[in-house]
Amino acid sequence: MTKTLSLLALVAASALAVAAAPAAAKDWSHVKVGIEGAFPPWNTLDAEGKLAGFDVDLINDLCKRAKVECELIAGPWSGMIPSLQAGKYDVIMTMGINDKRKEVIDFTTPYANGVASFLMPKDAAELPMTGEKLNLNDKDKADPVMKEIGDMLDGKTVGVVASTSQEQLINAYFGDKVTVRSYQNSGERDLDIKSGRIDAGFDSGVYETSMLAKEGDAELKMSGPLLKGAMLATNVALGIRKGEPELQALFDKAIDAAAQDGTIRELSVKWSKLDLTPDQSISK
Amino acid sequence: MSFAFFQETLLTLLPGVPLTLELAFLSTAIGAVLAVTLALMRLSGVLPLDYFARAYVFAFRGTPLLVQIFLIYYGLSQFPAVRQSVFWPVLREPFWCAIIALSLNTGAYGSEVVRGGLLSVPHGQVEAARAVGMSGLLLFRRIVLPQAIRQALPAYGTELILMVKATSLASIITLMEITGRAAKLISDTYRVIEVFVVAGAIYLIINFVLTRIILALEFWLTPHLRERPEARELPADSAGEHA
Repeated sequence: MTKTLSLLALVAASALAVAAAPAAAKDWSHVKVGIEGAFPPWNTLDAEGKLAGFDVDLINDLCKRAKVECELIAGPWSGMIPSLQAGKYDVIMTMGINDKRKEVIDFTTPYANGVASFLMPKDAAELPMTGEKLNLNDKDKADPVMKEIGDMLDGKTVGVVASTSQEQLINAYFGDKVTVRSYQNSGERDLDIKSGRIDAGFDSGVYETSMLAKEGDAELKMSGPLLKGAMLATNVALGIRKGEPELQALFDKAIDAAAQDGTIRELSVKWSKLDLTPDQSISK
Repeated sequence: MSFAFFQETLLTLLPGVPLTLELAFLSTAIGAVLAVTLALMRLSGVLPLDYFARAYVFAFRGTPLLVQIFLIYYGLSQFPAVRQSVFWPVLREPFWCAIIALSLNTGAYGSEVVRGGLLSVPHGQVEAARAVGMSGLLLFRRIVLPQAIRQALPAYGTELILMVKATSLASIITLMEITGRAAKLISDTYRVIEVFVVAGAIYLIINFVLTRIILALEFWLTPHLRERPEARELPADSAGEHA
């Protein structure tokens, strides 16, 4: 009796599945999430080699909201977008939105707002506008400041992480004046600023704030304005393969909900001491 | 995949070739001197020298080159004493750190190859040379070294090829050689396959030329292994040279 029933149920279920198939293009029950794991406080690997950080706490919350099972996979930063396109990941984290990247991948709505700033040895000459916000798209205000910074950095070496929007910005604004050195990750670059091999770094302000807050990093300081705009990808979102609107919609909704009920604020303050809640749900 | 992109990739990567070659040749040259020195220390019969060479080879052959590069580049610069020393102008440059790491590494591998070559020279030849009054440096230069080089060359050729490929690790300490340029191009274009295919092809061509040179050298050094041309006559005064 039970056998017949379950058989019937099976038939019904498969009939339903067949009927539903053309409507729902993809069933997102399992999502592979690519996270660098070397960019604290966004993400890092803990003592046991497990992923931790703001990104990790947030994605766990978002996956719960989206009712999908997420598998978190650590991988090198420069491989994030190629691996996403190759299908190794379905979603990649800490991906700042800019036009160049938009050509190759899609983005969800931003889940955090950040800035970018210079990192220098303690005894280096102070750049203008330290600690003040500056939007590079406000050209009347920003261009003279950037020119002054360019003159101060003339002939110096600036270290950035390869494949970041910070690298793109330094090349675009100061490429003819400074030597740009590209590193595998922020930590290696910081070692070279401390040893005096390079004169400055340029990185995410959130990274710099939390790095400087740690003990033993008293040799460096943040200098110059807190930058956003131009090619800087300070609106941080989830990167998604082109042509996956269902997945994008799923996470857009989850991010909006997490921004509204204060989850993003709570988690970002926990990890970075800063409220990184995006200004508004920016439509792309 | 488009032909135009392959062409663009090639033009982006080719300027990295001189740096790759500089790294490979400079470090194999320094490494070769190191290799011969270490091999002679091993075979010197002087215990402290022997054990030093053994320990050196053990350490540098037993640890990954990647780790050695990291230790020399990021490790040494941690010590203020190193940063204030006279070596800092050299050690602060990623290029010289890469050269040091590659040289020390290939020196260890090379010393074992050279040692094998030196040991392959039959003892009878050394005795014969002694019998005609040769000793020390003369014996080494005339009898042992030429034969040792001949024996060691095939294995040493492999080491040279490994070195050309090992230079790709220099990209992790910010050097923009072929692989560094490839990684940068991928981060700009996100086209992994085309870029790495072109990078791989460039290494292949470099190593093709290298293997031909080594083969030519081998051919030139081993006339005794080939059949003698029938008609060749010995020069009249050849017997008198060593008299």
